[in-house]
Amino acid sequence: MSDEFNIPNRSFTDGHDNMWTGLDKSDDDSSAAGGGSLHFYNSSRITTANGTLRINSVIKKTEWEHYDTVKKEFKKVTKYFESGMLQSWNKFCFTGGIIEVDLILPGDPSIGGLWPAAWMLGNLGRATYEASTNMIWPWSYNTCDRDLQEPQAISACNKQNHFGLNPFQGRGATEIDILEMMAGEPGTLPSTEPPISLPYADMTLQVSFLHFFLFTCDREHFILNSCFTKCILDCTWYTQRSSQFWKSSFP
Amino acid sequence: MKLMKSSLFLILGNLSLTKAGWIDPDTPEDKRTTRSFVDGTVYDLVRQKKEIIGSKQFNKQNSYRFAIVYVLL
Repeated sequence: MSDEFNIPNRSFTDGHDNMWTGLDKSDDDSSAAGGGSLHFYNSSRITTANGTLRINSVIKKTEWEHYDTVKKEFKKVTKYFESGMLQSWNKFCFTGGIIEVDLILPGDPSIGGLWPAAWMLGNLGRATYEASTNMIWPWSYNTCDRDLQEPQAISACNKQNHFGLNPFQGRGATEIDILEMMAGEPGTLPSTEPPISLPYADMTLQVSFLHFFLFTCDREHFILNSCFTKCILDCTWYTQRSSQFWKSSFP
Repeated sequence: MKLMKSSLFLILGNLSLTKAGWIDPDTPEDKRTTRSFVDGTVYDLVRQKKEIIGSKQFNKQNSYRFAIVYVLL
């Protein structure tokens, strides 16, 4: 499939688009990297203009009585950013091949705090819906290992896997990142504890890296990590630096 | 009247099926193939095959295409 986003003013609110769904909910993910995202995803933040898909992130408070699906209790929650997450969940699935994305990362590479990403998740879980991903994401493990059995909801050790799934077959929602990027220190922006501050990039296989080496940094320096930040600052991935598109593909 | 409505529905349904392809018509011809950096294999841009999904959620009754038709009507 392909989508060039050439038609302007598209709406991705649930039920409006044939390929994509823009979320209207909080990002409740609490991961090892931080104490939970500060986003509230609003589908009105996602649209198309000038032949591109646009996800507009703004600093804007959203407060509500939140139901924690894991702890099963209500609590008052405040989110400090309004942004967008566009999903293909349950609309189209990728089973193999090459994915190509042209994208420009948001903001300025010298201002951190943002964690933009283009990534994939097994359809068994739906990102930000914790009840569907808890103990499912990011498992891809299909071997019975008693030490690893407990945290995997659908394990190869289980005589009986529920939801009509095969016995003795481990399942999960594996995450494959096309690109995840943290630019640096968050500065004055609201931030998580600990902050999303690492100069950090997570890319899939060699192709993204190939670009990385060709256009920004050589392999030696990258391995030494000494110019990692420089790579990001000098590269053409951000709007502020260049109008060039960045392209990623992988087998 | 009922018959007319269902005819209209069918016509729009067909139109919609024709237009709502999984390959964007705006995708340039030279972007409809790409090459693997691993072994040089050329990959074609393909549309999603319904039979691969094979899920009840994607049958005609629940298809987004028909959801779009309802909006049109």
